[in-house]
Amino acid sequence: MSEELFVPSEVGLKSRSIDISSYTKQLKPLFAVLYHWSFGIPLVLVFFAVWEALPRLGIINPLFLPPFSTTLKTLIDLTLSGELLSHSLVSLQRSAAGFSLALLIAVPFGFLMGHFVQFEKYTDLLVQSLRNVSLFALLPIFLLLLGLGESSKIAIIFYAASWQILMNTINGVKSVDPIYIKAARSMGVSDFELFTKVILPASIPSIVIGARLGANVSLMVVIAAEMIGAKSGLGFFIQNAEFNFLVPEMYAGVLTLAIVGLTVNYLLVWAEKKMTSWKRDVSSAIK
Amino acid sequence: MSVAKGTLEIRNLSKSYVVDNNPLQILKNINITFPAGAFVSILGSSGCGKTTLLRIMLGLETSYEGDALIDGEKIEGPGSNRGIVFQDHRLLPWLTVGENVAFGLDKLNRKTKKLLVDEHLKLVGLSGFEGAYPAQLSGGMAQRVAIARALANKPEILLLDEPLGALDALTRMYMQKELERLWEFEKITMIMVTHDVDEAIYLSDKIIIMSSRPGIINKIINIPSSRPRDRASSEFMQIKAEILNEFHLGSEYPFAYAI
Amino acid sequence: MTISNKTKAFLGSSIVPLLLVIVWQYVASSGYVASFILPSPNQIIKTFVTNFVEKEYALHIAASLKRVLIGFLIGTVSGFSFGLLMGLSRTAEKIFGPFFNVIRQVPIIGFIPLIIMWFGVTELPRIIIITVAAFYPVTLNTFAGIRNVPKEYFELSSVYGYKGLKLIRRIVIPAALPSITTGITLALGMSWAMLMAAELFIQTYFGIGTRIQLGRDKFNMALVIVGIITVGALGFFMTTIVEQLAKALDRGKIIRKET
Repeated sequence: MSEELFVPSEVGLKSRSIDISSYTKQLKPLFAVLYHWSFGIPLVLVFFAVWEALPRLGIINPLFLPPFSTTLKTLIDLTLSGELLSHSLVSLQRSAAGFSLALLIAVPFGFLMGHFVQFEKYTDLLVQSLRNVSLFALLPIFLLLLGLGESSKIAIIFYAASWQILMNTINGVKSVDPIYIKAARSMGVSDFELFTKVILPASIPSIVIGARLGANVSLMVVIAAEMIGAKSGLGFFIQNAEFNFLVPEMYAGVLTLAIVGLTVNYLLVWAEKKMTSWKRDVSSAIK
Repeated sequence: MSVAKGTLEIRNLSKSYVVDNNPLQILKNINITFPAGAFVSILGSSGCGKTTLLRIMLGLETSYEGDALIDGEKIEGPGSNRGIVFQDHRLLPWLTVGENVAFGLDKLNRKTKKLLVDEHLKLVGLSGFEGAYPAQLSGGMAQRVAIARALANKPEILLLDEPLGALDALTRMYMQKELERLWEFEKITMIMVTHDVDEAIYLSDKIIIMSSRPGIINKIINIPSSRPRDRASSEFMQIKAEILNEFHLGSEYPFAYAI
Repeated sequence: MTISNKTKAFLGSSIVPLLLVIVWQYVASSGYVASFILPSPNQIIKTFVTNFVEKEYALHIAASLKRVLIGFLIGTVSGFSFGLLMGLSRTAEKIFGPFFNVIRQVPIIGFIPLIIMWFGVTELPRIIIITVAAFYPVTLNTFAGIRNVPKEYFELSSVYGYKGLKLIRRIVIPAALPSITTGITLALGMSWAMLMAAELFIQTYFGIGTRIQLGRDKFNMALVIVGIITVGALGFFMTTIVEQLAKALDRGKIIRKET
């Protein structure tokens, strides 16, 4: 391992190896990922095996923990009947709506606060105090004020996601390398151009990270909101199943949530990598 | 056959890597004897394998062909008979200067440790800095602490990997004088990797000039001159011209004697 | 009278909130907005006083604090151990890593109904939720911190013969400390957030979250806001304590890079 690390810089062949090994570079990560994951599979299998065995052997009351196979069957039934799908879609739609709204408002606001020091001076104290206010404390309030319809869910998702996006946007704008700004100014760009051509692009990586965190929070909050006050959505489905003691349905719902959550997460990470890949290339060229 | 303590021998050493299915020879047929108590420089531009050679001597690299022997015995791995000063000082930022110097001295009792630390800090001219943290030191000071750390272990051989490369030119010249003073005081073998020709001539008894790809020894120059050496002397200039010629950097107007 | 820059800055930044509060007081007391939606600031202050004067509020705070502290401590300690294990052992990472990575991306909220079904509406499920909330960031950050220990430190330690437990205790953990502290601070924030969730979903009598819900049920917005402010203040104090602690224990200023 140490040899691989040493060779490139030692003999100055770095640029050459990037050209030649582009093929192997693409395949290597795939194999590496598969190899890496293969070690983790045993634990996953053990997990499912235990899930199956414990209730069947009566160690845990099957009423509280249906065997994995039963849960899986329920899951498939519910998916085929379209019920889970429609609930999931509802949840995702709400998330997306609230999240988009948050992007629309928090990003510009973040630019303002990050770029104009005066503006930030006046708003900073307020922002810092408000952003720590607990979501879950406010959740019932939102529902109370805005009812059980769509608007309350979207409102709270908007609220939750905004903070992540706002803070990261501000951070992104503030941490634009001063060298870029000085270089641009020395070329005589106008303030507007400076903003659109230098600051905006340079802060995109941070904004993307903020967006990813915001999206994560959106998903979490929508489920919570649906559990307390909704008539549809994955959160509602799970809570409803629990209320009516439809245990396998409840587990199926949680599993679905797990799958949805994972898919969304991986998509977001992939999107983030895609959008910030240029930044990575720049820094590796410098090395 | 017994050899003097502090002798390092390299015999027929070769090392290659495989990069993208092509073998790359880093070192080829290296033969050097580092006599005990000598100051030897390995001079060459980046990428000629001199750092790899140093790491082999240190014991951090173990796959190679040929032999590397210290005091007549094969080098199996790092050991307390060899100390190292890296180009980046590698002081641990959460330890004080005193604790950093005492880094290798775990097996000793507190009193002995303190004595050694005090002694070596005094040696490098940093008495009173035991309580400071590396973040508070300048580059030159930090490097001196690194040297103190290495010497506190009383090694037979001190390896130095471009130790002054990270310092500014003035500090570097000052530190070269310091290195010489330390070498004369400790009387141990010092093997230094550098790309600075002046530095090599100023400090060494022997200069090993290496070229790259593959890494081979171009020339070995012995410098019998007395110390301290005068950088402006004709002798110094002559050796410098000779070395620069090896790198095809010789002057078109060779040094002329003024009569 | 000269006003220091810091005071000026503070005054400047308080103008907007101050103005807002004044407008708020005006709007609320003018009767345009029903008081159960927007209580006036002085109503809030009154509620604060009455609640704290009754001993009960102290009990609510105590109950919430207890939950948060227990969950946070257990989560942090176990997260640190698990992160340490995965960071030090590649095998452990390969075995546990994928599973952990999958589980942690599922929102904890989703598990709450399951937890309620398993453990009922008692204190245990609440503490479990908070523990899990603290567990994730500490594990991830400890793991990252250990993996990001520069390989230079490992080379240094092999030269000086630091192995095994000594290596972990004296080099790996101190080097990973900045990351670990970040993880702990994050965990604290998550613990407080999940405390509210826990008190919301798993009903109980004593707790600040309960008071908030009570306020909501009785249309006493002032009570709600008092609760929110209390939580915020407590969270802020705890975070400050942790940060100050980190600063005080920060040898060599590796966590806060101030000179």
